[in-house]
Formats: sequence, structure tokens, C-alpha cells
Amino acid sequence: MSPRRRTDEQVAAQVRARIVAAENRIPVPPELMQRVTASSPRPEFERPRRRWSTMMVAVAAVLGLLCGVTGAVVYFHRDARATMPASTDVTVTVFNAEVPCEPLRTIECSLGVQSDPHQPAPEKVVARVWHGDTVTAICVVADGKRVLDESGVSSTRWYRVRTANGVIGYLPGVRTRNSVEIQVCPTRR
Amino acid sequence: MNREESVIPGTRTRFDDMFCELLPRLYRRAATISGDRHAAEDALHDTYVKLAARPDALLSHPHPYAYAFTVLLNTMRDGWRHSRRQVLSADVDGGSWDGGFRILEGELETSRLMAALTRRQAAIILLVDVDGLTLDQAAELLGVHRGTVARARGRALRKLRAVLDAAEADGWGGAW
Repeated sequence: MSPRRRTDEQVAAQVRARIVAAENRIPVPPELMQRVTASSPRPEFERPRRRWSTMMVAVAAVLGLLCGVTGAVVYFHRDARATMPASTDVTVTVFNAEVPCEPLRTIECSLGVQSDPHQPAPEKVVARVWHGDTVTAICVVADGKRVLDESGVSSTRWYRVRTANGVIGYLPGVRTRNSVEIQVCPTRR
Repeated sequence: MNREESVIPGTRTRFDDMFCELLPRLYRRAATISGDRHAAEDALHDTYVKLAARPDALLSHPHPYAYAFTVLLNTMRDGWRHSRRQVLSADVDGGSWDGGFRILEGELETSRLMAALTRRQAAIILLVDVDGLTLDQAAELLGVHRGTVARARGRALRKLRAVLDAAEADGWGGAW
């Protein structure tokens, strides 16, 4: 134990020194402002339906490349599943941040919808989506496999989505872009 | 209605400028508290969305940083609540700290300090003892009585003293 008892002010001073020193060593990532604010509900993101603007959602998704899902809420409805409070399904339009990919519907420009957010793998792709596709975000898994984008940003969030064909799977997300909360998926056990 | 639609462009620009100015400090603080820089970015994004809904509140606040920090802290607290429901232990223990970047010992030690405190205690220590706000200012920001802040700070300092003593005994954090 400490040879002498610190006073409150000594403790505060030591904590302050440690925190300030630690914070000064943390480098601020380049383009942090752009990354933090890129998904905010800006006017250009409000084009789908202004009257639904309070439910606008945008989700950035990655699968090797940086992609995003720009929110466009079409509808939501009450889900009767008893285990989930006030569930909402949110329909979003896939937005690929790779501009050259936007008009292309090639495999290289697709986002793979995975069957397992905890152990994604190429063979577990159950569907593919492209820029402009709409999918329904059913819920979000926060403890999925960490996915890195090309700029080194990562997230463990995965969105359980239903594609237009009715296939259900998971798309990775980097920093939720939603101003509307998407319900949490039931914990797998 | 979406409040953003009523925000005049000039306000948004000033808000963005101010947030940009505060961002490095908020980011470092978020990373220090969470011990995870990606979680810090997530929290900052959510904080930005919340603040942007009422830009005037930040622009007109006498302590913009402190105000933004309290919003950030609330955001992180909400995230922790979610995390608890979702069993994030695999993420914490999975060796993926900072996406594989080198672990900064200072962050770890600071995170250990903060982990000893409740969220409110952490906020008070950071606002009062690190950022230099008065007890009254911290109380106003946190929406509690001054006495509550004073008592919480006292308890926090006792906990921190114990952590410092233990750290000294264990030999980590040699700079203490």
C-alpha cells in the first residue's frame, strides 16, 4: 500500500496529470470530422420523403471496401415479437461510396449479405446487394465480427436485413448513421 | 418535424465550425474513457447527430466543450447500456483493441482509472478536476444538485486513491 495517504487534491492532481498525458498521446485521425459528420441527415440525404424525415436513417456498410447505406425510411410498423420492445423495420437504400461502382452490378461492386455476423466468410454470403437496392433493416447486432474499411475504421455492428428477394442476412456497418434507433437483435445463445 | 429542416444554413456552418474545433478534444476524451478509438468515433458520430438537432444549444452555451462533453458522455452511457444487453465481452477480450494498432499504455491506465468510477463520477472528475469547471458548473451541466456533485466527487476520489495505491503496489503506471 501507499506509504502515506494522499489527500484528495493530490489524488486529483495525479489523475489529472495522467489523463492529460494520455490524451495528449492520442493522435486524432485525419479526416475525423468528415467521418463523424458524413452521415448526418444533410439536405442531400433527405430527398426520399421529406415527410418521413424524422425517421431518416443512414447506415454505412463495408465489406472490404468502404460502402455506405444511405437512409431512406419508407415505412415502419410495429412488430409483434414479444421479446423485442417497440420493434421497427426500417427500409434503407444501399449506397456504395465507391463512385465507380455505383452504376455497376458486378460481383466486385456488390455487398455480400452474410448469414453469420460473428463469423463471416465468403462461403457464407447468402445474397448480394448493390448501390440503389433497398433492404429492410430488421435489427442490429453490436458484437459481430469486427470489420475494417479501407481507411482503417472498423465496427462490430452488423445489420440484420431482408433483401428485396426476401433473403435475410447481415450487412456490416461502420458507425451507425441512423438518427432513428434500430432495434437490437436478440442475443444468440 | 425534423428540426434540422428549420436550421438556417449560417447556423449550421457555425455549428460545424464549432464542433470541428471541439472535435479533437472530444475524441481524445472519448477514447480515454472508452479505451477504444473506434467506439470513440461511433460515440462522436452519435453525439454530432444529437447536437446537430439543436445547434443553437451548443452555439449559445457558455461552455460549449463541457456541454458537448456531457452529451458525449450520455451517448456513451447509452451505448454501454446497449452493450450490456448485447454481451460485448467477446469484443473486449478478443484482442482487437484499436483495430490492431499498438496499445497505448497511458490509455489503458486511464481506462483503468475511469473503470473504477460510475459514469457520473467519471464525468464529475473529468469536468471538475481535469477540465477545471466549478462544482456549480458541473452540477448545472449534469442536471444535479451541487451537493450531489460534491459527494460524488468525494467518493470518486476515494476510489481513485485506492486504484492509485493498488497500481503503485502492483508496479504498473510507474509515473504515478
